[in-house]
Amino acid sequence: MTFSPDWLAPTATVIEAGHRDDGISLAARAAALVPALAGHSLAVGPGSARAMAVAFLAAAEAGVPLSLVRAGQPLEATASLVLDPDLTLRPGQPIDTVGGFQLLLRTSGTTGEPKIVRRAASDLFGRVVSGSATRWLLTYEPTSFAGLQVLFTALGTPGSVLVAAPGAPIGALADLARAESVEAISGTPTFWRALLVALGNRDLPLRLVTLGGETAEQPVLDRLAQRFPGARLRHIYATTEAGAVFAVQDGRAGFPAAWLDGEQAELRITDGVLQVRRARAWIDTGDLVERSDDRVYFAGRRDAMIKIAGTQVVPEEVERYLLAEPGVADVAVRARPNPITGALLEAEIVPDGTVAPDLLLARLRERVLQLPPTSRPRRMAIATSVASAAGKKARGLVG
Amino acid sequence: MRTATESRDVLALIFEETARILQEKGAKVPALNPEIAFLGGSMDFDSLDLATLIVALEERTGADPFRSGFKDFTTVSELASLYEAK
Repeated sequence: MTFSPDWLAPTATVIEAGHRDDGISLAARAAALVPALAGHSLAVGPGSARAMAVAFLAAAEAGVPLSLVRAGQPLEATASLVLDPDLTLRPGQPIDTVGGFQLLLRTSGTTGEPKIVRRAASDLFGRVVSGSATRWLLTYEPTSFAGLQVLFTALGTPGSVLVAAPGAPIGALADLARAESVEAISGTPTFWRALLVALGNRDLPLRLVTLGGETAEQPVLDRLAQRFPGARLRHIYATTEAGAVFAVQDGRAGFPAAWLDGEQAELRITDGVLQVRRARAWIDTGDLVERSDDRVYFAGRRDAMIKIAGTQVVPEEVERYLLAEPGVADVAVRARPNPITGALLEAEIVPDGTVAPDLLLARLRERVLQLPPTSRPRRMAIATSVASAAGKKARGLVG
Repeated sequence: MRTATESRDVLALIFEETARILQEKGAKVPALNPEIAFLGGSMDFDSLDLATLIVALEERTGADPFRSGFKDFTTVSELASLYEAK
């Protein structure tokens, strides 16, 4: 028995770990699993985009819930069957199965416990943009919402290719992108800064450069425009609650303030927080924004604020400040628990190689003196990378 | 067993890091002695500077005497004794 959902392009291909599966092959592998799924729920982990695709196809055909598990989160506890990266099924935990096919996703939980979000499959298909055949590199976890969107965009477009190596270090991804002649990449700003360092001056002729998942700052946009002059550059704003909201295509950080104006506007600012209109309701995004002339800029998450010596501090603002120093490729600012002030900021600095590390640290120590005392990172260290497993910088308390 | 040498070492470390923090923010460095008070005394030291000092001492000694909660101290020698008690 086999089947072929109408959204799946038979000629779209997933390349991963030496496997090359087109849409027909993925559907056939899923069909082989369907009989075993009856009466169960299915979970899939972050290790394989191929397994993610097969799990989706199989669960949809069998009409059972599919739990998508992120790195570091328990896999077996979420469903009665688990699909491993080698496409074999094994038992999970007995769980009452309800409600037919639906997706259970977990947010990355940069602040606190991960949140489980239910999505109907139609939420995904609604966003798949049909375009021309494109060779994509997957940089997100396959089981994240961003990862799914890239996977579905590739699998829904005839002739497209998705190149995946989940969990691979940035150097390996850079080599893979070149070896497979990748044309389009969507990644977090943290990913992009790391990729620039990993690529050096080697050629990578991209057509599409997309940033998402974190605020895209002007320096990284400028650097990407310079490095990939033939590419369309866009940054995407999406939230767990409201889904994909907008894409900015003009190469500038933030978005045009004109989008806030007029009766048809779908965005507004209330108490410094961006709200999005969905049907007749305004959804609070929790993202702090600042309007400056014709532009609106993101100023961090309201809930990522850290209280230091009684003052609210936004680590992303401090990161932006440090990133402006020549010689800095990437920065992660985190809170470290402190018995005196509750927390203190500390910074990890990734040099771009143009300034000696000791000199760079000395200049940064000078630079932070211009910040309010509570916003100064009190410990700064050189690091080779600041990306966490999820591709986002960990912002919780460390230590 | 801690020795008298180690005790002097902790004091010397506190003096060194305190002077560095004061210098970095452009404050005057007074003559440091074991009985000088960190806050509210003759030093231009605030709570953030003190917090910074504790981070620096943890880096240098590997010890965090505040792991189980805040402990009372006022002077350099009182802070030093927290590290010696570890």
